[in-house]
Amino acid sequence: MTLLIRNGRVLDPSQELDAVCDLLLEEGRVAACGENLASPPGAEVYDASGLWVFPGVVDLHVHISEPTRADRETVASLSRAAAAGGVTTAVCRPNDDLPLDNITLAEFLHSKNRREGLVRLQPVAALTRGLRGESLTDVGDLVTGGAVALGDDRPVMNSQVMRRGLEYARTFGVPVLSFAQDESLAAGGVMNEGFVSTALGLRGIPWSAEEVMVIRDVILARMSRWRIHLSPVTVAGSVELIRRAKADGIRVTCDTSPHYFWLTERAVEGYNTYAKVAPPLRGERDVEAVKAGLADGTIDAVASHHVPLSIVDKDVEFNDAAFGIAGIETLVPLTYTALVEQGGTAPLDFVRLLATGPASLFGLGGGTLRPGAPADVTAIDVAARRSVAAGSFFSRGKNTPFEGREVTGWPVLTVVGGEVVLKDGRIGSPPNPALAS
Amino acid sequence: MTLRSKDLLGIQSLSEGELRVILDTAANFAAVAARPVKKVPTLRGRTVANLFYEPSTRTRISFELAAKRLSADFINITAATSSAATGETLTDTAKTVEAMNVDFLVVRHSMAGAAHQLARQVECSVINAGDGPHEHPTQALVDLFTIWEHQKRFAGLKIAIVGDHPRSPVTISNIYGLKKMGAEVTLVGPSTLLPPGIEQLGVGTATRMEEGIAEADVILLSRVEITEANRLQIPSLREYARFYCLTRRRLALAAQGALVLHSGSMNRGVEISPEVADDAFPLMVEQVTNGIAVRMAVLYLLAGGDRA
Repeated sequence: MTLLIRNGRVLDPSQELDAVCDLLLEEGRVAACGENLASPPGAEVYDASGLWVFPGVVDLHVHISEPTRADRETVASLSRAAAAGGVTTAVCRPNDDLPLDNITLAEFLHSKNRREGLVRLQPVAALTRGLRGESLTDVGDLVTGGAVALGDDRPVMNSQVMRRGLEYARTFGVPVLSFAQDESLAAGGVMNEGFVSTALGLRGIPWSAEEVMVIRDVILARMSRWRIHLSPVTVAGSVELIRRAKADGIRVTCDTSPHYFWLTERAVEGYNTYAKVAPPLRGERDVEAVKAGLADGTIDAVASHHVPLSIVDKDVEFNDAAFGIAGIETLVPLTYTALVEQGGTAPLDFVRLLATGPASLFGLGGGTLRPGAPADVTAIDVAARRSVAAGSFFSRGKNTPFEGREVTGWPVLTVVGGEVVLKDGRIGSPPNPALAS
Repeated sequence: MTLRSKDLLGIQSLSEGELRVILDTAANFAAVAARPVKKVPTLRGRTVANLFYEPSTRTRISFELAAKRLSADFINITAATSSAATGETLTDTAKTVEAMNVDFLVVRHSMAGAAHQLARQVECSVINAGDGPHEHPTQALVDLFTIWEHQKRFAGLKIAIVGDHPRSPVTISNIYGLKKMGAEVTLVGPSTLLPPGIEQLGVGTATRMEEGIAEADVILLSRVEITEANRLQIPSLREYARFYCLTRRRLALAAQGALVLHSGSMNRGVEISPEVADDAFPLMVEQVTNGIAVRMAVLYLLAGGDRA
């Protein structure tokens, strides 16, 4: 279809473009961007006056539990949630329900998405078999089968496995992700270690558990001369270590998630299991450091770290509750509100963190509105304020600690490959023909 | 005389005034216990249920006797170790018990926050009888009561708490209670056993026993044993005893006539020497008796005090 988005404030960091103009999408591609574009015959026209229009959001961190635990999230439910959240590409990480450690699982995800999906779904394949951190997966198979990066989304404690993983991944040209947490330091912990954990009688995970692994990973990246992507980064010391490593020319990148710059460990008080997340919510100083890292480019991307869980996983004793926050539908407004509205981040930098940055990190192809680029577009309303209401999430996971928070920057239009998948609150229906190829 | 909350989940949320009311009320009930007929009709027609997710014989029996001496009906419910073990959530369990028209739910659980999570779901009064390493308010109240009986003051009193603090069910509650009453508290133990950030509760810390108990008016001990959870924090019981066992020689460093209280079953030769244990035993027995009076006071006040 042909879509003309009129009069939006078009933001594209790849061209340093920030101007009120029109955007024409044709045959699944960006056709033109400029003032007063003529409407081709049969084109649908969308009035974006007052809205921000930018390259589709690329969420580097989501989870799907199909087919093992479909009560948590399926391709179809994730896709609807992504569309509602303004996300045009969701990068799916391995987990116990869907370990993505063999080609069959990666192909399952792709074929399922072609039939039931609305947005692009790109798998991160497991680095090690069964996510056990012991032996490497058939990386070449997985990469030729479409994996955009490698990583277990849990700590790989064995440094030799991580080193060889990096070296082997270099052969196939994909980055390696690391969940930087020393398992022995974190053992048994359910929240950040400190005064709050002491006062609540809960076992803590110290900041050092993250920093120890960040240092190791930086060293291994230098040794293997390959790209390591730390995901997520949550403590002040990690941000500083990565800042220095980047200055030294080491190929390290990283992301964080909105809860790490919105909430501190105090969100756990009252034994709020919805604030139980891995890595844990940290202290005030860490929140400030994460914001500073986002502001100066040390942190390359904001991802939702979407872990949809059922009420059964959360309505138990705090120690027994599962870790995770369902965040894909609040990624954009939480990031907008904290960084742009309250933090003064420039609009282009906001788009860089959500779209251009993550797209280039994993070589995903989107993240730009240059003519010829895939027609993946997100538009948000920066005027309307609305409260987060888990009850209206499209995701099967309603586990958010942000219930009732009033934020702004909610997505109103999501376009994937030229197909409208969200328009003014209505979600499109699959299949999305743009995903067929 | 009454309490602000329907529940007693911890000492943290009690004011100094409320603590004094509880201690005064407990003193009255202690007097009742000295009479030939130990029962009063105060809570006739009310029902108290013990919901224990882990065994604790002393606490369970103490609540049972407290309820019975107030003429309340009483039931014991032994639950599985956690809701995960049965598939029944705390919420389901709480609602089921409440449907039996229970007025007080006394909850013991190995996990921090269990009583708090439960209390949000029910109308009846919830009493935390220990939620793992978090709070054990009635046990701390017993310690306060015994200290008050003997010292007749809290202001300026020097208290040393010695033990495996990250696993002690009563350290946090004792800190809140003693600080609110105006005492000075020092936590004693090797660095591995001093909880992170504990100074923010206004307590001092000491890694040398001799320094920590110097001039102390009261020494609070708890049972020390080595488990999978603390084996990297205490290399061996022998070594712990060498540096932290309360011996007569060490006790001589404390104030003249210092009280030695022990909150549970003693591990003689580990946290307390056999001789000091023998000397301290009469006080432990007294605490068991006080425990019933304190729990009667808590039940009575939660029921509305003189409006009950």
